[in-house]
Amino acid sequence: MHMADALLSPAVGLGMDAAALGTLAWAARRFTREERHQEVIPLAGVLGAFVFGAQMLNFSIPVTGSSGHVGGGLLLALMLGPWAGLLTLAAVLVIQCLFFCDGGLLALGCNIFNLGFWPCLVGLPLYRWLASGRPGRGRRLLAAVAAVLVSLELGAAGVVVQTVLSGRSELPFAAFLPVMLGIHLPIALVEGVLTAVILQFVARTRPEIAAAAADSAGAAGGGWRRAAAGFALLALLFSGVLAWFASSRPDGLEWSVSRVSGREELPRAPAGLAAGLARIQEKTALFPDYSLPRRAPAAGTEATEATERTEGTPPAWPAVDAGTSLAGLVGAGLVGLLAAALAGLLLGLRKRMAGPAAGTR
Amino acid sequence: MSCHAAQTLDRHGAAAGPVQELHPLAKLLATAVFAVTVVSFPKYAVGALMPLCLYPLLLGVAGRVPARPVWRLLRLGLPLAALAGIWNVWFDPVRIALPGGVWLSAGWLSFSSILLRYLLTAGAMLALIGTTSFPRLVRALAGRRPAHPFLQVLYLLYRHLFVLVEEGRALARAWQLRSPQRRLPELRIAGSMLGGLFLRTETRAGRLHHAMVLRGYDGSLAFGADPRWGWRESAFLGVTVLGCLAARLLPLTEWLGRALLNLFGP
Amino acid sequence: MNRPPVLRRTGRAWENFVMEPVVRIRNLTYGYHAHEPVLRGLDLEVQPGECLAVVGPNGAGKTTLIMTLAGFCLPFTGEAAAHGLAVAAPNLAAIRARTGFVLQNLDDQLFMPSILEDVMIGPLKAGVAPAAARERALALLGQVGLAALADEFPGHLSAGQKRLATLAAVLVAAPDLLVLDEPTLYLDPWARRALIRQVAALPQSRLIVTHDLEMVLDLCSRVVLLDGGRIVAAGQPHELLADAALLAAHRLEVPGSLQPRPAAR
Repeated sequence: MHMADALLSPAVGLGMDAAALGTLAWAARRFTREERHQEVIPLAGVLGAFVFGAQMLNFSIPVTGSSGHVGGGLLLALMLGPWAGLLTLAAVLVIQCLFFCDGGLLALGCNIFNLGFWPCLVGLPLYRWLASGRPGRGRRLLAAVAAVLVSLELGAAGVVVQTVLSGRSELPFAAFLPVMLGIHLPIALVEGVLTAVILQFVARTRPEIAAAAADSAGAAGGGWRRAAAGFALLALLFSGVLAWFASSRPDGLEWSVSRVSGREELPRAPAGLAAGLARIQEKTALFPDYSLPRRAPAAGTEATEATERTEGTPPAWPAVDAGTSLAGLVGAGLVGLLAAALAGLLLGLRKRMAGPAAGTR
Repeated sequence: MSCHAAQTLDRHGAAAGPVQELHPLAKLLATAVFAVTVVSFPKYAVGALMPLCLYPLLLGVAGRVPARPVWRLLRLGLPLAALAGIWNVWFDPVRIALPGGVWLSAGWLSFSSILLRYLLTAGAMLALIGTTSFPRLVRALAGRRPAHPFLQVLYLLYRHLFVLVEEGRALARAWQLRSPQRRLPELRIAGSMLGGLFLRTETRAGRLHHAMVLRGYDGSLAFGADPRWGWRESAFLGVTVLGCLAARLLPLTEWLGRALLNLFGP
Repeated sequence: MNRPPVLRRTGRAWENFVMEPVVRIRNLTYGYHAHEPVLRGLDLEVQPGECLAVVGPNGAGKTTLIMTLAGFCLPFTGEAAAHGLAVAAPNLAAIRARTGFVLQNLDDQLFMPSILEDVMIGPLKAGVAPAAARERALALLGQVGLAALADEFPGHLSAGQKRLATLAAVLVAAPDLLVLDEPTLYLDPWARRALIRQVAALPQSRLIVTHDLEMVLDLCSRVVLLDGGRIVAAGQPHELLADAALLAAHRLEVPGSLQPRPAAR
């Protein structure tokens, strides 16, 4: 599943962007060191396009009767190797984000990590290890399912962590994680089986390609194995710690500043640099901040001046202070009208003007 | 179909026009600044986000971006955004008191905020493509030397995207024509069909590589005169940044409302 | 940049010149798998300036022939030489520099975000300055009638336009030999006619592999029939393509313009 900008905070988004950029640069460097990388580039591009083409073919999922289509991460990683595979999956994500509104510009970093990193650096070695030698159909199936399962579940866990850390969604960690992991279980099963069937077909018709894919001797160098193992371990530790943290606090993961700083509310105008930073933090919500600024119209909707709390909510839950309500409401309405007018203008323009691309071919 | 919509949008980005002719990087940076701004608003921001609608809308109008493909593509992600955000309504324990003694979960606010964030960020990206077109964007990012392998792969992917989508569609259609009773192929058959597509794709890549070798292509993505960064680009970027800062830091919606109330009210 | 054909003097008199063929293939045998040769003892020559057509049924080895010339089917047994250079690893770059290949697929041969830049690949690679390369590319695009579409993304072009753009991109390097694999495939009649017109006006030696027998009649000075990996017949198009029995034996048909018209009633 793709992470969306709508659920993201700047800190998580930009942080993951930086991490993904670093990972891609590293992957590109390892890739260009490979001998025939110039030849692989066209293959990588076209296989990336294959992912989109393959998604045009829906198939029926046994037992459930619903339909699905292939994701393709492990297949790409198998055919291209970990480095080109990561670059290609990142390219697929960029296209999905820019054209098909799947994910977001800021969320690219998260998605590259969730949907690219795990299949290429964890799923691929797992598959190669399980399917080493000359695997029969059964072993290939097992290897594909296991590799896809691990990759997808790690990716799903990533989405959960990023969502919870961002603080835009109210989903409690303890509930969100099992649901995401659960949803991806059948998805991974189907994808794994389909990948195995495709590989079986390839092995039958062009055995040399299938052999090259499963060849663990082709794994570029030994150092990456350690790196991948390190990352995987880190991910497990991280999610384990968070899970413990979440379970010991049944009301969800709370990262409000007051908890972290040990105080009930934001410090009032402390002096110097800290004041500046606190003000910036107040204004830009760089850390998930559940409290609304006291004066500014963070939410210009109807609410009374009195802040209400429901019974049973722990006192640390901040109030929804909507600020000066009526003015905010009127202003929002006006902006809405303006936006609608612009949109209408857009539609009107479209009808009146011929598109620039219309014409003779 | 959404692919057709994407192609239409891309073609409009490649056309001539004052917005289209702006340097692609200016528009990309503006979109990035915009996205960061939208995402930086606190959880319950709805009204405060609304002035930001102006950016994608103005860009679309100025660039004469066609509305129907944009809406077609926006619709793709809308259900997912709604599904992601709707949980806030249940899980947010904070409630707001409305006049008349009615209680509203604050989750409705954050849900609306999430939907609005989706529309704003996705709209901005579609406006980017509709005024820039993907090839121009990639070209602006590549230098004159052999381009970075990631950009080469990205461009080649895009170049063959619609070709392969057509092939995939042809596969699906061929199945439908041969088995009208069974609406979808089962897993095993789909696997064979996709395996065939996969092998054909691999062959295509071989042909592509041959053609590149025969012409001595070295992986460059930009030869021609680079678009210039002039005062227009700086002005565009500057106005966008200022606008985003203003929307984020100033209570614009409230001021507007107060002004209107002062004008008409007592 | 056109180099004169290599002349060899035989005998005493100057009038006994023998021009070295641009392509010279003797007893060429090649197979993708060792025991299944696709080309079996093929003999072929392309003379300077001539337009030679290679026709034959599917699976005859026509595309393999082109791939061998291009240097992608090594090693083979027999001789193959282009421009006087043997087709072998050390000469491949030189051969490819002097030969323009227009391959079958429309989408696999245009690599740059605009066709102008695609056509510029050739001169830039030859060391021409960017401004001059741009001029030359524009001139070539004008020659094939695509000057107005110079900045277009290749994916937005029609089939005929892509074919002509590829032709321009190949011609800009001023090759001595042009090899075309099914050039009229996927083209509508108008685009097909435009392509034939362009190719007819070229001074280069041309080797055209095709199923389009009408085009062979319009364009080519000599035709060879390839089947089972070897040349089974050669001759003038108007004679060879009128031989119904020969064509039928190799899964071909006499083109419509050569068939006798039914008597008017």
